[in-house]
Amino acid sequence: DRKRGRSKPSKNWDVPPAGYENMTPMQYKDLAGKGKVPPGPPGTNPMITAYP
Amino acid sequence: CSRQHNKPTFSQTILLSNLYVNPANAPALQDGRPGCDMTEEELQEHFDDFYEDIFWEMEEKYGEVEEMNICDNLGDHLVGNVYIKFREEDDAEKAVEDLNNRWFGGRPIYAELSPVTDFREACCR
Repeated sequence: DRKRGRSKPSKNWDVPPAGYENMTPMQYKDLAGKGKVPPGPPGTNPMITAYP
Repeated sequence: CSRQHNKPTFSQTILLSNLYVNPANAPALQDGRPGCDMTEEELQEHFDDFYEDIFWEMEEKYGEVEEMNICDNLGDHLVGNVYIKFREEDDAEKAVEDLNNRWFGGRPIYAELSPVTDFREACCR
């Protein structure tokens, strides 16, 4: 049923990392590419572009 | 993976890289205990909540979704990858542009168009 919609509100969308609330995602990704912000969780590698 | 992974100019499908973080894959603690103590039921609920969260955001903000798949492969270039196939190419393009400027769960989103159209035939090329 496509009209059903969410069963609960999202807690994840548009939530920035703690301490980086004033930075845009693009600015953060630029720093991540330079290794200047903490790495993400295991498997997260912003430099990898992948397809199955 | 050593394949080319050519990026399409137009596609109905988008890739959100490494977006799903499976708690079961958390590294072991320093004292040797497992990094995740969730039950199978809790892990399934965590996945279902994530799937619903992504799916409805795509439908509400960008357009009708035909198919959505989340990788549970442990390879670094696949783990947690989310593939979303929209009905319209324009919606996919709009989604990529917008999602690259959004956060999800305290992390930036890495979005791009994907050449995958048939997920049952998908493989690295």
